[in-house]
Amino acid sequence: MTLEAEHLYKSFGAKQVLADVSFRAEGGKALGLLGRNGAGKTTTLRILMQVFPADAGHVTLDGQPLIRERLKVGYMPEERGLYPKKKILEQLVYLGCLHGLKKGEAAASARALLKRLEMSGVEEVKLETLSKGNQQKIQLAATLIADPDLVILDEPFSGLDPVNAGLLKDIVKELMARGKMVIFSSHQMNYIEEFCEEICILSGGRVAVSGNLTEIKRSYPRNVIALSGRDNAALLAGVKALPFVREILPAHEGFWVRLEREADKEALLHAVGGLDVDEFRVCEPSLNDIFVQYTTAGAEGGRA
Amino acid sequence: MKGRQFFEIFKFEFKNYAKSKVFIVLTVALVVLIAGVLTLPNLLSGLPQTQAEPEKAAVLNDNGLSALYNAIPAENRAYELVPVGLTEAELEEKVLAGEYACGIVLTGDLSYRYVVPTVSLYDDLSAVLNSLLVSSYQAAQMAQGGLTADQIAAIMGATASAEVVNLGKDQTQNILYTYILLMALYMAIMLYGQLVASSVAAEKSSRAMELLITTAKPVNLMFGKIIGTGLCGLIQIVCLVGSGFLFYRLNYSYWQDNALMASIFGMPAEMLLYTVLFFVLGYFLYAFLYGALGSLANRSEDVNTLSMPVTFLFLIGFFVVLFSMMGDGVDSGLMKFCSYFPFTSPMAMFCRVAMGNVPLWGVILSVVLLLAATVLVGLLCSAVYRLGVLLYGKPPKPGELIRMLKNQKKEARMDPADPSGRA
Repeated sequence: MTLEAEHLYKSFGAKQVLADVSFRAEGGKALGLLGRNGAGKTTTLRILMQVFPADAGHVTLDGQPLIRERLKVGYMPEERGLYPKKKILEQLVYLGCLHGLKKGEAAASARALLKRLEMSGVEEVKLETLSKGNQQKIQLAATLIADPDLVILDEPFSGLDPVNAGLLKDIVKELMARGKMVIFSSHQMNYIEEFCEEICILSGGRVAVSGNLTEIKRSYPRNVIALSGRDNAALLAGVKALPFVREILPAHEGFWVRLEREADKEALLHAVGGLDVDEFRVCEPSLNDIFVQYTTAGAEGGRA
Repeated sequence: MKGRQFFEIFKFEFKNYAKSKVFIVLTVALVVLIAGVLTLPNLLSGLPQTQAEPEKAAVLNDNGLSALYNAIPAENRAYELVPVGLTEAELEEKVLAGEYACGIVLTGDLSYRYVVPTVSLYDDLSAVLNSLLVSSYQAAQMAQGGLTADQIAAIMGATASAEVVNLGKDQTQNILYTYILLMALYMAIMLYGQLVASSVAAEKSSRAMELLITTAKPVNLMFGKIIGTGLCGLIQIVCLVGSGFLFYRLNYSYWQDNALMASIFGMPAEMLLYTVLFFVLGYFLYAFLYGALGSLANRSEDVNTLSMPVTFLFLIGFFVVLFSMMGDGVDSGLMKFCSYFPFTSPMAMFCRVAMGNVPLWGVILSVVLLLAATVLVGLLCSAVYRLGVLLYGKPPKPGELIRMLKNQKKEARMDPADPSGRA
């Protein structure tokens, strides 16, 4: 399954919220939809779910116009929301029925999910009595109750302890292995890097950068080399004076060397040949660096 | 599939309130109250009566008044008049001391001083004495004028008789049940309308709406809630009216001679149907408004402020009807207007059907106007609802809201890429 958004535009009154936003989500893969607060992520997700239509552009599923009833969507909103005073099984079954499940199916699915989430035994408990992290797990169960084909997770890791975060990661990996489309929206870049092959960074309602994350990283100049060894001082002395070294940057382990040109890598490798080297690696920008670069420099576009 | 989603929401919303403690306790308490009011007097009448001894009242300068008064059957009078020979000062002391409940000091054929420790609201002794004094004075004067005792008795015993030829409705008979049913209409529409508003606002503030709105169609959400909640209201009305009739029937032997009860429970059966009809129509109209206003609120606290205008509109309608019942009559010009104006017609037309003279076409016209208004308001309100449930922050001002609705309409027209046809 492939879900594609093509040239979406949306304004609320005079305020343009989205301008020419395109991206695609594929079955078995996760798409990271990123952007600073107010960049248009939630609006984009709501257009995907047809809560309201785009002013222009369209969404297709496998090349055909998306018919909402035919695509099961599980949505975990950033602002968590369920009925605090209702019993957990009751509200999960209700949501399952809204998705079109029969009551028995919904109950079976709810019980299975609670078990998978290590939450068995809370069926008859009111939601508000659970801790924040456990409420979060119930929210995830609500998202997955109808076995959706498209899973949209907005900040799914907030409030989870490392053990529960690990559980969530496993579940997301299972979803991907089963060919589901997953759209992640998060500000925790490490999780996005872990899951998402494809990213789409929005800034001021426009796509600042999108595509395969590895390729995006590769597209950056590869002229920064991380160097470290047992005797970093000796290593530093050995490379500092080389003519093609533009600057030395401090790093956590060892240091980084910025070269004049990418091609100087060979020469540097040759120069440290006789020294004790543990690490010699091209530094790719982290997703965090890319995010900051695109959402601060390019932020002027699209702002009303 | 679409119908099923509506049905699921309807079921959930219905159970949500029908199973709540508030609903159950309120309904049971009211049924118990009705049962008690209608059954207890019957049970108590079976117990041996402990007739209260009439209290003693002292009479100074008695001229036969005490004999006249004491001749009234004991159960119909509160006092036993006792002629005494005391000074007025002594009498006042004894009344204050509680030896006598009160004192009568006759000062002439038609005048007396009534000495009483506190003037009670319900004391009718003075009124009874006045009429006794007047009639004995009149009889004495007639006797002096030469009339015989028989003639005097005939004059004093004269009564007028009238036969009422009633061409319309008997307002002395129907005012009570109209009043009771009107109160029920008012309470039910208000209570359940506001319940819709606060329940929408609660879903929004708990953000359950975020999930609902991405899973279900807004029209289903709104109608499911309104109809589910309304059914609770209808069930409650039926329980209360039904238990009223049930316990009246069960205790019929006791109540059959009671004119008050007979006038209430002797209401024409169609009045019950009109109650249901006008509850359903009025409830829908107001529930739409309340639902839309609830969707604009962010917290349950906002609901009261937001729904104030609607509540006032409803209250004004209620008071116009109430004051017309008590004063001007229910077929006045204002009432005629109110009985066709949709926001007041559920109560005003109901009242005119019960107490006034409305031709059938008038009732039908009123219902048609009300239905038309409900459809229009329903369309407008579901548009507001669709917009409101996604709005966070300060509730919009009416001007802003209209602008947003216009935008939304424009969007809907410019939306060829959406084949699903949004709600």
